Amino acid sequence: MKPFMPPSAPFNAAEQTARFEQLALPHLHSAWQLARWLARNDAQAQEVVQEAWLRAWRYFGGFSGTVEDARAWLLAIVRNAFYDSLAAQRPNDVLDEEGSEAIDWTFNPEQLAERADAKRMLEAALRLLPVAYREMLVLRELAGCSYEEIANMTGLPPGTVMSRLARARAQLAQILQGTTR
Amino acid sequence: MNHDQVQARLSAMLDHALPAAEAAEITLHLATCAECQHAWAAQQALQTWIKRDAVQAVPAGLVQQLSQHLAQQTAAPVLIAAPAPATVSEKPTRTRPLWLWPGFAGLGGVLAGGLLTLLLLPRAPEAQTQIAQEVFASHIRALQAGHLSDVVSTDQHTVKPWFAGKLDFSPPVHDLAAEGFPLIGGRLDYLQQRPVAALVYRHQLHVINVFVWPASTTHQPAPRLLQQQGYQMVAWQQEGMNCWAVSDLNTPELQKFASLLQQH
Ligand SMILES: [Zn+2]
Repeated sequence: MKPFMPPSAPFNAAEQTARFEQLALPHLHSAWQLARWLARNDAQAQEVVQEAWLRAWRYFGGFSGTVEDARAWLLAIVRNAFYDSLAAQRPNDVLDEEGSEAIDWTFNPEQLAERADAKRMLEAALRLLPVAYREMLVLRELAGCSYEEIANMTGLPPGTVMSRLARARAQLAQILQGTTR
Repeated sequence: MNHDQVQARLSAMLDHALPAAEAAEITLHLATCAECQHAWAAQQALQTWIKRDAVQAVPAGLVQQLSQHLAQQTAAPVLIAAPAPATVSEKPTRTRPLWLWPGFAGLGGVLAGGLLTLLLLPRAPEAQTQIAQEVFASHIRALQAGHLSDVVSTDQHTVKPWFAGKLDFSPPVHDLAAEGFPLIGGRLDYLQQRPVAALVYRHQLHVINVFVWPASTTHQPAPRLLQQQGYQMVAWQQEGMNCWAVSDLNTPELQKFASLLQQH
């Protein structure tokens, strides 16, 4: 009978948690932005992040990248945690991905951005976007993900990521332009 | 590149996602087209605004909350159901389970059936706790190392003989594919300072590890249900073996699985 060797490194949950936090905490800011813009409110966003944190801890042993790579990895988990939590109540946003995306870009949001209520106005406009467009903007602008990273985590072809971002920006500008009338 | 094509690419240009040649063409066009210049300036302004105002600081206390939540989840296993006394049988039978599993009726059935007493204890008895921690750790280690099976096979007639030269006992190996729990393989593992058989099953996307080693007594304790870090564990005896199943499956499904194994 072949002798069986016990596993060399005993599993240590506390040590594992410390290493996990070292890797994940630098990306909590990005994770929070994504969760907050996906979820309906801050309370739901906190639940999403908490669930994602636990999942990430569990999958952590299978992750072999750097702290830098961990951002896209963690964001993908946040995103999945959100969509799983909504499984029973998926928003039925209808995306018009076929129609023209040409809009009147002679409108410049620069003046709006200088108003005292600029932050509230932008937040309201972002909330009006379909979540599938909003998440593109958040991943790109707030989390700094590349098209390739977004394509990997959403399962969309890079070309679709590119066109969704263009549409998201155009629709957002249109909504903002509407609020000035 | 014409005017419309340039307009359609400004967003990608903003993201530095265009091939250099295309970006150069757009830059050329921008120098000559006032409308595109406006559009470009507007897109840049929108980007700057989003980066400035769509950001919210991480809520105070969230870091601590996450850390506490993890610590809680990594704490010692909790016994969530223990047997009532006097569920002891002299002779195990192969065809009929010794215990009625609450799995089909959920935990409500546990209380209604009266066979198991639901106890909300902070800790399981020490011996159980120790095994549970080892079982849990082995499950996590196997998942994380991606090393679930030494013998990959959905055929119980391949898996069972594979253990023959490697262990001094023969674990019960049953395929439950028809019931939705296909066998996917087996491996050697190490628990309680001894080599044990680990059988790997799947249910949808969930992996179930079943650890098996010979029982030291013929005394048959009723099945126990434990929980650690969101993983469920069920322990029972069958065919003279200690069996521990662990998975992230929900409790009723894992109990159903254990009950199916016993009926074979
Ligand atoms: Zn032009």
